Amino acid sequence: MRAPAGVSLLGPGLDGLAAPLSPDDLCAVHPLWAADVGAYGPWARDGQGLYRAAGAPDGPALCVCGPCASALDVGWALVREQGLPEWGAVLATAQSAGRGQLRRAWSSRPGDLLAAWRWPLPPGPWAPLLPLLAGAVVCEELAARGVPARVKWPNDLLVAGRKVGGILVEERGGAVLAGLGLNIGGAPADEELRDPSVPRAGRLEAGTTIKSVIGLWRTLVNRAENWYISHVSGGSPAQFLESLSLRLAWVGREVRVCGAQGEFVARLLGLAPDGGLVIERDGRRLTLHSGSVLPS
Amino acid sequence: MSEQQRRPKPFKEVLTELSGKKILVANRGIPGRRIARTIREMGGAVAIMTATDVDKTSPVLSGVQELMLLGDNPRAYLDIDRIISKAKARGIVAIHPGWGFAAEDESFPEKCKREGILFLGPEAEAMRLLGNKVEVRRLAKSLDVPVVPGSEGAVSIPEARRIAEEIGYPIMLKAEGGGGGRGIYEVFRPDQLEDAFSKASAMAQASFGNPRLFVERLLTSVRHIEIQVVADRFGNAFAFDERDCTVQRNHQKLVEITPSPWAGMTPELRERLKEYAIRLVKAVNYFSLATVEFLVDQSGTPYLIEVNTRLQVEHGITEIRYGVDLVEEQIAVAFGAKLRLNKRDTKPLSHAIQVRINCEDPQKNFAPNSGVITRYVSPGGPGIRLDSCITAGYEFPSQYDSAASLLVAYGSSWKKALRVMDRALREYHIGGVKTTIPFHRQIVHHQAFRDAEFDTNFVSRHPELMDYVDREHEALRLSRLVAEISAKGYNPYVQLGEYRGRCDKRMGRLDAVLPRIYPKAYKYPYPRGDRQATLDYVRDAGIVHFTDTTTRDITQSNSGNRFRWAEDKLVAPYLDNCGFFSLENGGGAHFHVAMLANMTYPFTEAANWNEFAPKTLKQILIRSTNVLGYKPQPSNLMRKTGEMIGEHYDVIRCFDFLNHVENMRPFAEVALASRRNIFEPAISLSWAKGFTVQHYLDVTEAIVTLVRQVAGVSAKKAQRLFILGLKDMAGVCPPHFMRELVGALRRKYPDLVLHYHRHYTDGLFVPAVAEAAKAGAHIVDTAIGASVRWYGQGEVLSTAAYMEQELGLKTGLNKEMIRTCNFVLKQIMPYYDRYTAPYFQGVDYDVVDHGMPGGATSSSQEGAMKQGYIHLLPYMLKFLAGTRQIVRYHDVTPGSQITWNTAFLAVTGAYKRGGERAVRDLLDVLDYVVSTPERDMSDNMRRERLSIYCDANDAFRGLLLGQYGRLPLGWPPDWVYESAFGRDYRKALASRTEGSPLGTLHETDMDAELEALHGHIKREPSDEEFVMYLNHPGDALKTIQFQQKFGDPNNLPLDVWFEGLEPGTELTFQDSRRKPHMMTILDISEPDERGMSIVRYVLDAETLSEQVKVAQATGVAKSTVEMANPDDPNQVGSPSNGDLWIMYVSPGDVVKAGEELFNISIMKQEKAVLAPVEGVVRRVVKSANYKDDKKMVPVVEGELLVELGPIPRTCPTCRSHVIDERFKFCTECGQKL
Repeated sequence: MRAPAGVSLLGPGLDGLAAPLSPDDLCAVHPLWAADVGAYGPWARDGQGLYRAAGAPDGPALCVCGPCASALDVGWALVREQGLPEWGAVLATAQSAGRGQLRRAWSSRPGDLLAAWRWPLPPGPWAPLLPLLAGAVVCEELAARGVPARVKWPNDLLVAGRKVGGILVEERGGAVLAGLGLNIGGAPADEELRDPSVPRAGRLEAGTTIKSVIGLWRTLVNRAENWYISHVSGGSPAQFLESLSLRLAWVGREVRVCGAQGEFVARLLGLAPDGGLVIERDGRRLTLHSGSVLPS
Repeated sequence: MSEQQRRPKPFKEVLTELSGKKILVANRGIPGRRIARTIREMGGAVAIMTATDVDKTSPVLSGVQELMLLGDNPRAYLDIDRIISKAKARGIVAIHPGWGFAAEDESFPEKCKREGILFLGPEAEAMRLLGNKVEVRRLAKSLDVPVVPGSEGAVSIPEARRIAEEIGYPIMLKAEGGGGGRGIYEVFRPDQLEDAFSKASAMAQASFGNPRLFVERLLTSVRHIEIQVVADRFGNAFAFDERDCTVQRNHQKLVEITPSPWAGMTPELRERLKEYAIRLVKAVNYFSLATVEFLVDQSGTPYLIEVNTRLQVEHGITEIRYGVDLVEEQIAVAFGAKLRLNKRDTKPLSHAIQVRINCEDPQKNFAPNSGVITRYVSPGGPGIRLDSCITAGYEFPSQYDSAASLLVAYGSSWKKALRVMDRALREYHIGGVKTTIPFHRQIVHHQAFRDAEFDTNFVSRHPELMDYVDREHEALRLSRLVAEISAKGYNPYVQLGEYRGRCDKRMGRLDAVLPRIYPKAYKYPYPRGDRQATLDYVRDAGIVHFTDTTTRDITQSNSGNRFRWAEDKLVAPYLDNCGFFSLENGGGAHFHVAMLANMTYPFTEAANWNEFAPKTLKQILIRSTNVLGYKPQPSNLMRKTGEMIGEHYDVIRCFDFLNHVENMRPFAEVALASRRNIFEPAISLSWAKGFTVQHYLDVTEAIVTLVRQVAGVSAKKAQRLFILGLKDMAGVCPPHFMRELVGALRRKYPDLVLHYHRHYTDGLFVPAVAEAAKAGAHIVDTAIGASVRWYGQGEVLSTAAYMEQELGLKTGLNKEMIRTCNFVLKQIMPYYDRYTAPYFQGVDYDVVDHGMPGGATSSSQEGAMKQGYIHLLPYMLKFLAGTRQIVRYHDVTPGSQITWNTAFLAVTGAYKRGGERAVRDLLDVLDYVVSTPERDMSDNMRRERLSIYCDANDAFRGLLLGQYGRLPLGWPPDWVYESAFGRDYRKALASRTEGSPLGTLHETDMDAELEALHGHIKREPSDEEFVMYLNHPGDALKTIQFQQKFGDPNNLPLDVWFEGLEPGTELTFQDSRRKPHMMTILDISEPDERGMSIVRYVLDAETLSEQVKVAQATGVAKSTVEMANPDDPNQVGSPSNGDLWIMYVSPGDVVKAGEELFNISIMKQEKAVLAPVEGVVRRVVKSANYKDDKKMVPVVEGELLVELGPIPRTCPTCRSHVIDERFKFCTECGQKL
């Protein structure tokens, strides 16, 4: 199975991984998807059984699949068959076993953006910064749409202190997939969340400038690709880290750090050249590469 | 779109028609953005822009809805066919070519028409008829529109020659295919024609693909006036008021103005030009935009040069003048709308000026530069229009033209537009690349420009337009200096090495408490400005007078460094009211160190001194031959420096280390000629055999004679005209000697004012000074208590107390003020003590023997130590004591350096040859030589002594030859020459001279030096900068460039200057214009692998960052964990630093190639590590299972985690693995293997 250029639906599904999906099925999921079906139609079946969108025949590959365990699983399946090119993505309408980092659960609602997004492997000094790049690009896209988003290190997206999106980067055999979940349709209630060391969830207000899921996705990929080519090919990460620290949540403020060393309070200073988070604890400066950060 | 359409559409209809339609702008950068904006404004049309790979990052792309990607060839914008075919495939209905690229390629509209796409410009034929330079001339002639005299069409060389003779030289050879001012060759004489023709033809072929040239008369002193015209498909045409594009460079427009401010642009001429333009346009049934360009000479006669059949760069000023949108009109007209603009409804109102902001360096011949735009602050407010293609962080590409933005300023009149433009250019900041902004500022300020008295030669005729300093405002520059010092922890510019690190304890902010004083209440008794009256007062007042050296000799001698002007400023008002005869605040090394380590302008400091301490006389110390410089100065240079000195200082103390009085003549001439300045020749004093009272009396006599000669008066009168200085620079002459010397001088020269200067080094300051005063010395040098240490002068109040109480003398000091001054000084000294105090400290009575002057004591000894010779220091001092008795002169600059070097070289030389033993032997010989008369010396010793000066350097030898002047006690014995010169010593003896070195110096070529300095700093130097440069070229340039880069560092508080600013603390400071600023450092990052720290800070509410190199680039840290061998596929290591959170395998597991072994998490990136080969797991070094135990195991990049081995044999019977290769029997079933 290969994901073609432009927008398509994974009509036949993917055995064991994703259920079949037709344009009518998609309309029924949520009004945002219905808007997409209308905007990108008409839809015609091709030789592989995929529904191709006549309104978007070119551009990075985007394949929408029906309910699945996780968009990442579908993504990896395609990658294994050389079926998902760089910047291509799988969007899932629903996940039964969506995953966050370290195999934590990621719960979603109809209408949410759930994507497995193939990134290129950045060169040299940029390689360890990949998770930050993805987060920065999404944050910028939201900002361009008037949503005042901030990045909670390393790449969670916050609006008004509530988490509206998360990213998990998986690397296997030289290929990179970034799993991205954005709460557009809804958000888990506070009680559902894992434990107090996790930020409260929020939802992006649909109807701002987010009128459809695919529409949002396409501008996001466009932005990412352009940005990647311009900055990553030649430049040094220092400037990127500079500008990201301006969007970083809680810079200069006291935060609670929950990590392998336990929990403690520190002041959040900024980013280190390798993307780590620089904090100041009891007058000493440390760089974190893992752990989570919360407002104190 | 059929052009057969007969009915003109109303504009509204066109808008509706355009809704949802795709319109392509086949261009980039500024024109792309300009046109795309209008497309988006036209009722729902979709703007698409072309973009090559280089342009994908351009800021202008944010304004379009879709892109047409053209791939990686930067020249793809010229590939019309490809663009059109792509457009067709995408359903694009119209293409706008912009300007440049293929905008005037007549095949473009043709091809568009063929594909059914509307070309937003004229039709092909009309474009050809008007756009081709030869065609349009023909057309113009037929319409009675005057053209520049020239050929009818392209010509051959003989034709060109004939026509050139007909119309007269100078002529222009113009490329037929050129345009926009390119492809023009000027020929002034017939003999240049042939050569120019072939060159021009070759260039035209290369640039435009068309080698044909035509000839035109080169009109000198003309103005470039053009008329913008717009026409619709139905014969309606409208001509706008003229645009004046006269200000050009190499035929490239720099500034465009509407309406023309030139007095010669009369309403009649305007109407005439408009008439011509309309005529041309209608004659070929042209529709769309066109610009008809004329040259107008002094008499107001116009000549058509060309017609541009496209939108032009300067269209914006016309839009502003009339309040219209030309692009909109152009598009509407193309779609068949009726022209909305006409004489009745379209009225001009504003005056507008456009300047082209390019990424070029005007001072480097407008060389284009590309790079990252680090800072972008655009102007705004009323009267501004900006069309740009750049933004902060954008990497300006090198593949295309250098246009960054078009800045238009407009107002209700020419003068108002100028004021708006001036203001806008000041607001406009583009950092990271050089731009034409400062150049345009020069143009706008130029009177000829403002008076509209310029022609096309304006720029080339006024090279002073290039004289500017392209720099940002001072607070920003100073903030970078603060960032650098803060990141490093020390100030590299003060030349004190790495005296401190970032984390060292700070002294903290110096907030000096400055007690209020009432200067008006104190009357300063010395009649400053009148030499005679001052000298008379000093002579007759019956008190002992004091000169204060706190801000010169004492801080310099004790710190090697000296106060910055910022600290001088604090004590100056107090010192001014202490009742001192003079304040020594300049000269000597103080002048040099100003530029070497304080980065200030010494004469500006002197001027400031007279502002902050206006009452008291100011005193400066100069060297006779070198004045303030590092080598002897010819008289013209000495005079120039002397004039500047005379302006700021009253008392000029002049010394010569050989007491060669003739060396002082030129300066005597300068000083005695003024009514105000007081000449103080100073005798250098040493305490040694031969330097007797009589000897010094003879020197004094020579000085009196000199003054007599220079002033042209009698000896008796001469005494009254100057002050005699007595300079004991090492502090060696004992009190009794001073008593004798001063007494003798007073008796012989009763009217001569004596000024005694002594260093503290031997510890006998007060007794010596007191004896001198008692014996009749009029003025003595002292300093304020808090600054007194060991190598400078002594303290004022204690010296005065001794004189008054023990010796019954009187003084006129304002003691209360001295105490107050001391209080202020006490607060400042700790900072200098901490950071600039010398290594060796303490009173050194030994100086009586070795004679090292106070100013050099610490630095010389420190030098010996730093070079690893501390153990030889006692020997060096002994050598000094000895050699001083052989080659006798005074140990003051430069003599002291020569003596020290001689001692250093002799001792280290002996040491290198034979160790400490050899050194001791050398000193024994020296001792013997000094104490044994010549006649008693053994032959052996006569040989031995030749080794004493064998290591001497050229300076010493020069001294022996008399190159510095006449040695005060005559030549040393011949054996010294033999020792220093070796075999050629007789030649050396013969070449000795007793004349003044000044006599042989050539005058400095002032013009050449000024030009050199101008070339270095790229602007007109000030007088002061020139004098600084003439005296110390290297360090003067350093200081000038430092101030250009950072501003005046005296605006920073002392602690920040030494220690930098602590992150989190706020610094308020004023710039040189007294504007207040605030700076806080947010964070200083740890150095990265290049050794760079990034300082992030806030300056006046703007967040900035600065990279500072603080360390060497580092390598990778070593680790003690077991690392995987990268060449062994069985050793599987961690792909990066991070946390191991799941290990899937255990020893004994068999894995296939590609199977996941473990997973590493870092920053929410989970890296699956797959088995590179098939094998069995031999070893698992670390394990983890986060899901179960919530524990992560940190690992480093390359750390070995899993070791595989080849799959072992299996037992043929039971199929179990044979674990060890060496087993002969299966452990499970016993089968033989």
